[in-house]
Amino acid sequence: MQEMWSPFVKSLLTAALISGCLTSAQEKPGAPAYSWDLSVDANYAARTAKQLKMLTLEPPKVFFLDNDKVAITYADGEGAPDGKGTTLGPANDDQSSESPLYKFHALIFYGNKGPSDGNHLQWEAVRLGAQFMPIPNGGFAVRVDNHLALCR
Amino acid sequence: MDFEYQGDKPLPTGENADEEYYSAAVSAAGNTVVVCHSLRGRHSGGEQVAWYDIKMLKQLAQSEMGNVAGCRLSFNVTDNAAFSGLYVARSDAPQWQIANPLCINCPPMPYQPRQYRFFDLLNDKSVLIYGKDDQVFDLEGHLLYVTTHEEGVRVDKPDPFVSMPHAANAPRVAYDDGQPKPESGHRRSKRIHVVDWQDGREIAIIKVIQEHSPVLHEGGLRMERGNLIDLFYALSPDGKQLAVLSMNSLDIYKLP
Repeated sequence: MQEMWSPFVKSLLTAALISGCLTSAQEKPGAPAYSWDLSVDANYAARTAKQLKMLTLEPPKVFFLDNDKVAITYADGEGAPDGKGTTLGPANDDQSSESPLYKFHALIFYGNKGPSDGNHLQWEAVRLGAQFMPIPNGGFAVRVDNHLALCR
Repeated sequence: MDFEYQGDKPLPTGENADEEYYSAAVSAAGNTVVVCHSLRGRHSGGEQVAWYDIKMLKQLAQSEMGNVAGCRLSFNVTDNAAFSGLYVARSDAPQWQIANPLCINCPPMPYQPRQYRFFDLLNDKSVLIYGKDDQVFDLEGHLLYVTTHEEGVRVDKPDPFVSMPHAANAPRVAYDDGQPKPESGHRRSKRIHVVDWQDGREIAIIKVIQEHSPVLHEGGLRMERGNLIDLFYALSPDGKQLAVLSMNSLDIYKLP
């Protein structure tokens, strides 16, 4: 019996090993060169904690500003829908239709030094959908609501 | 620089605007920033784009208010052209025309090629068209690369409102499998692929694993997330690094 199954088992084992090797070689992520905990930024940590309890927060984004510098952008608070320009309804009597409802943040730091050693910029915004745009050859542009800012 | 909201004025058709937004994009050459202003009513509307010199923020050109093509969802610009959905306006020809994503430098198409309506300029020389298979073309319409899908796996990007992550100065793009896979201990994973579309080879596969996310209870409903939370990734300009943002962590991988 053992003799009869042995070649089959051997071929199965061989196939599994090859498959495992291939999968392992192709999917092995390798260790990251740098790994950073973004919760050192208290606002970012608070936003993530909130995200775990909600379905619809805008996701954070990561950008390379150049080959050394990265930017993490995120929004905290709940803005108005970005399709509403002048027709925003006030949330309550004390709040004008153009009151900033949330903040758009950018953490900018060197990829090999981490967020503790970077800059934290923020903009007040009324509507969701703020944009952060790296500029080739250096700097970035930010559009928040109907405002555009350049930083070079 | 501030732009004026104009939704309190009637549209040219006399209809009231009920949606208004601004969107912007920077050209791959880095010389211009282009701002799109969109106004929509129930039955009419329009979009206008303006090119600004990036150093002086001086306006260089402006298109006519034209079709509402959706520059919030798909907006690609060069120093002299702005693509909003399937329409294009050029700085020297301000009327909106139907774009030809398959051949950007060819004459405009006489009809809307709906199957090519989602595309992104990767740089000044190539365009990525999303579809059943994602394809990279040069601006003269030559096919350079086709993304091959595994069975049961789709090609996805981290956010529908941004282009597929790509290297600004190298022929590399990054995408993910779209659908998360179950892992042991109720965890879930996604694979991020980096490909060199010029050589037609896969550079790396990075697997991102997240712990089981808490079940949400909203409005009396019990909801479980179908996807990983707060996952985003980017390629460095030279294509030699991949940054992966996953909830509270940022990992930077060196690529061959």
